[in-house]
Amino acid sequence: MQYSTPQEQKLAELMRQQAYEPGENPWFTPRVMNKLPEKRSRKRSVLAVVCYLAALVVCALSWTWWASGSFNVITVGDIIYLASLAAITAIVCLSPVVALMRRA
Amino acid sequence: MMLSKIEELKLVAQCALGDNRRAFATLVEAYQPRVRRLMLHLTCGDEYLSDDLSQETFIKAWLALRSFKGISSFSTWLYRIGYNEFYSHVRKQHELSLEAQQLPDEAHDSAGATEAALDVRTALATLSADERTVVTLHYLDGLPLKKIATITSMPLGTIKSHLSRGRGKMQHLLENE
Repeated sequence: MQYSTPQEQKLAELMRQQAYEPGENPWFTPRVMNKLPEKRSRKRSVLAVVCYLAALVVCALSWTWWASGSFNVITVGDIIYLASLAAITAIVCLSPVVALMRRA
Repeated sequence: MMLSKIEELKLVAQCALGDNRRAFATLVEAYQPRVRRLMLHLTCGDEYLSDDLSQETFIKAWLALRSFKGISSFSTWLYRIGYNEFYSHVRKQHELSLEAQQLPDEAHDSAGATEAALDVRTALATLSADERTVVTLHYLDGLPLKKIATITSMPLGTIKSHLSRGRGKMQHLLENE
């Protein structure tokens, strides 16, 4: 950069030669990277809540549909359906708890 | 490590759009000497404090990368965050006198420094924080006054007066030494 007066030029040169210079710090970048927090995108958070609510609604509807059926004959298919539905409902209900624990 | 403008924009886009940590590490590696040097001057040679503030600067930059519009250069934007970080530190400390807080520990900071370097550092320490910021950015980093005004959010006239006062004080001190 060109300065308007010789005094300014001299001061700039003096400062460049004599001012503080940070020493080599090979740990600086790794330390910054370790400290970087997770970014929480608002769009992603909204999408996650919408998906979660949708899953809850689907689970509730599935349970209602199963409960409204006749129980005269229980087939292997019914048992598989029920076990899958129970597992999915458990996962859906536990996922916010796991997310909260992770955050803590 | 120097990045070209295109490389820099590419890395910023990767960080902002894809949360790419590796790209951000490259940016940190490229800009940390400049940010640390600025902080070292603002804190009058306090290496620990300047490294802490520099780290905070990069963390804030990571969180705010999506707000970087590319109107100013990335370094200007980063310096602005760094400058704000320094001032929020000062405010947190409730220091009324910036100079008293920032005077360096001579024994710690002057190790290995020549007499001329000590003169420059002593002269810098006598300036107010604003004068020191403007003098450092203008004479050490070679930034034009308009960019300094963007970084510090001060009017151009104020920058000019800080620069003139700071330069006068330094020249007076360096001539007397």
